[in-house]
Amino acid sequence: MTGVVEEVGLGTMSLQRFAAALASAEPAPGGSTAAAVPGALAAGLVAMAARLTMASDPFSDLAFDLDAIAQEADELRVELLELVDEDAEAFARVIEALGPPRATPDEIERAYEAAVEPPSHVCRLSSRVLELADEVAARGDPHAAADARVAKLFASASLEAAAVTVETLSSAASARRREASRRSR
Amino acid sequence: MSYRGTTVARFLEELSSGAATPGGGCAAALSGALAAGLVAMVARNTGGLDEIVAEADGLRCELEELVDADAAAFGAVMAAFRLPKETVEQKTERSAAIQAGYKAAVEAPLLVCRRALRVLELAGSVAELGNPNAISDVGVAALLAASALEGAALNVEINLGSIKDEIYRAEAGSAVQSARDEGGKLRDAALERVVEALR
Repeated sequence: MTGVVEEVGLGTMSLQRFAAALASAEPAPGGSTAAAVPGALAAGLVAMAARLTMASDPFSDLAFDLDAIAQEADELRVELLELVDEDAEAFARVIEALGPPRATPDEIERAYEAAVEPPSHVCRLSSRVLELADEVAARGDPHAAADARVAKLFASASLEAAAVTVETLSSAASARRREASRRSR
Repeated sequence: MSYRGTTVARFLEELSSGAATPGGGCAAALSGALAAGLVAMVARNTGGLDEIVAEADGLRCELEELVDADAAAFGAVMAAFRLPKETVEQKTERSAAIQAGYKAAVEAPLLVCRRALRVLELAGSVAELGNPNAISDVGVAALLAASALEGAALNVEINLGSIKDEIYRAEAGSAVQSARDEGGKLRDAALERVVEALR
């Protein structure tokens, strides 16, 4: 569980600095980057809730299942944290393409298409976190179940927020495509 | 222990550990701080929204402090449970300390509810007045603020269950319920505006 921390990027910022970076007028990191964070928080809470429940009866069948959930949640957390950086990079390339100097419509379209990938991935991972949270909420002890319910809220917020981002970026990408085809005619 | 200064990656790792802090309440406060940050960013990129910028920056800092306040309160509850309970006096003292700890563990997430509610209101204003290019950022802000509010509300409720003072329990319970009702409406209204703008 430990040591799998990305040593570069937004994950190494303090909570305070990360929130301040969002608040700055710089477009990146922005909403799409922030969308991955609640997913990672949810995965962290799922793992904690599973571990808290396991601790009371470590050799039961339930503990065996919860251990598997905690490990999967650890992996999802690390992946979601990596997506924070991937998103920030992809989005920065969109901003760069929009210039100045402005890239060609083709390049801009490609930048937008690439920027859709990280939030789409966040949607998939967060929905898996949601499933795991559901299971821990149903089977964990009462205090852990409360944390698992918070995890459910966060995982669905992450999923929806990433979906809003995907929609925005895809519609921007198709607007670029229309523009490009108009020009080539 | 201050989590504000820890890295995002480290905070997430500590969250996943089997230790009870940081827990859901801390995560809820952080989610609110991120939402306030996004509201401030959109307001900054719009121009003419200086008051919203200033208020959102203030809310962000307060919510960051609440990440630590929540952890500290829960730490105090656990410390109170470890107090000795041999004599009658010790038992009385211990139970008073536990009750005081639980009240602090209610106050922190209750404050997160209130502040997140305000962030949601600001997100609504920014959805209307803000730069339309940043509309998805507003949507993300509304979702994060709403989950901060609801997540904190769950923490208020679970800790209220351990409080014996019935008047306090009723008051805090109704405060959290009204914040939740109001927050739900604000969230839906903000997201509706976001979805309209995306069409």
